[in-house]
Amino acid sequence: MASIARRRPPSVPGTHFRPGAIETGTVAFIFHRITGVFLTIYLMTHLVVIGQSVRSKEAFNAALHFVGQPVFVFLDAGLAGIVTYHALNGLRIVGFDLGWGIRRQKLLFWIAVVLAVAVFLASLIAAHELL
Amino acid sequence: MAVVIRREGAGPLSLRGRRSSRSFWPWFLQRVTGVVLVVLMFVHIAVNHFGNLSKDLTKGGPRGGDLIRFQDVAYRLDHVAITWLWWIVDVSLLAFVLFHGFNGIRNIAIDMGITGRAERVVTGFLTLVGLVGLVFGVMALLAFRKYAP
Amino acid sequence: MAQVQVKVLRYDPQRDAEPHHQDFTVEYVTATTILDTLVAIKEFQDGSLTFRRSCRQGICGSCPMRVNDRERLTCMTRVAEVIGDNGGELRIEPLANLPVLKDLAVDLKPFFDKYRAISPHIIHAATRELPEKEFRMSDERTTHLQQFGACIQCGACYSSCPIVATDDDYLGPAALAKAYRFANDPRDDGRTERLNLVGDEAGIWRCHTIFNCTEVCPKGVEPTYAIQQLKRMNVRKRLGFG
Repeated sequence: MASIARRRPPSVPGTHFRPGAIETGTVAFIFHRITGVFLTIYLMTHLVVIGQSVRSKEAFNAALHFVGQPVFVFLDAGLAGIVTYHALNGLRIVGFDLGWGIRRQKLLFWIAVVLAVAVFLASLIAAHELL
Repeated sequence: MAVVIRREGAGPLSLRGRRSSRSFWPWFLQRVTGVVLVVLMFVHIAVNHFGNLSKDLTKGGPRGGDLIRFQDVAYRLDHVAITWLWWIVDVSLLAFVLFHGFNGIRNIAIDMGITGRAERVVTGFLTLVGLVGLVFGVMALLAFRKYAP
Repeated sequence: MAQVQVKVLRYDPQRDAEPHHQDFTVEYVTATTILDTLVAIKEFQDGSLTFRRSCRQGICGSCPMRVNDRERLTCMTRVAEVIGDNGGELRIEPLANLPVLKDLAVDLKPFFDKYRAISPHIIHAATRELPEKEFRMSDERTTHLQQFGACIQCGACYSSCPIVATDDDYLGPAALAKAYRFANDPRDDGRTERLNLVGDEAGIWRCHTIFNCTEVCPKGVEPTYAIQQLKRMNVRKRLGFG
């Protein structure tokens, strides 16, 4: 069977996330990763904005004025929802690590999603009130 | 108690070049910083967007909308409640969130199969960026004291 | 008799450069299992189709495959269950994350190497006193361990794990669940060694509680639960209590 030894046989293609069989736990993980990367990138932009204080008082106020524009305020509402999901799913994971809720993992995921959507909608309303 | 462990067959391939207990603390601290961040993040958002603690409380008169101004932050850091507590909250928030975020990126890299020397390079790079962020953030905070009216 | 379109992934290393699907039509009734359709194809349509099977009653672990993207034990899964009422297509592919040897048979060596790596047997200290009659264990403990001993090493969990897919060194759900089964056995003296072994960069810390393994396990082993317990045991050991 020399051909098997020499050539590394292929695995089934497209195997990372089975397209037809995504489960709740898989979705929770994917969302957690995506929101995490997004928040890290956001963090860096946030530091740049707030860090304008290093240049001068006026630079800081100008930067806040810039991100005070309506489009950014609405984006902030999205950010609030994303942070809520990441935080609540994170707590779900810490719960598992402490041995809690492993057999209720799907319910806990949905609670995190519902609350994240609620926070997002509440923030949209608050943004609307502000502007 | 003398323990005799017998391992049969081929040596465990999982130990090939990866054997290290350095992986415990990043995992553990990711959870610790995460939980603390839930609280700190809540405080941060409440203070800056709802509590209006950053607003200049001594000045009366009209304000241009709800924008936070330089003076508001400087005032909070210097005058509101127990001021050094704000410094602890803000610097902790900064340090924890930088660790949590970049450790998360590091986790993604390791999951992708990056090992050995490449892993050390990635970890070193992310640590460096995190430290730069920390220094820069502290400088930004100090600027409120430096330029305060 | 109803008919089902079966799409099987074929690969002959001595002939094909890449795996490819081949279509068959098979008759089935309510009780027909997926394995039954494969046997029917091999017997009446294409004798070159290669797949593993043995007990056909869910205990040997030979026949897991990816059916419509989901890992299933094919001898215990009915066709009707997978394709639904409207007669959809049945797509059968080999387990993922393992090299394909031929058609639906995969090379399980990496899987079993990792399994062996955690020393899946009772380890006795040289100084342990052996009891006269038997080792006594409580009912609760035996029942608890039975769940993780129910593993038939089929490889479905290994195939479903996205971390196994991207990280060659990750031990995987089956090996780790078995490590827990022994770490939690009062007759075993290798607990510290085992916890060190799984507390490795390629061990329990790579599990992100995705739960795919728990979903697909045909015997209800719940590897995620076992891995979480191993994490707890490891934390207690590192922080110095327990």
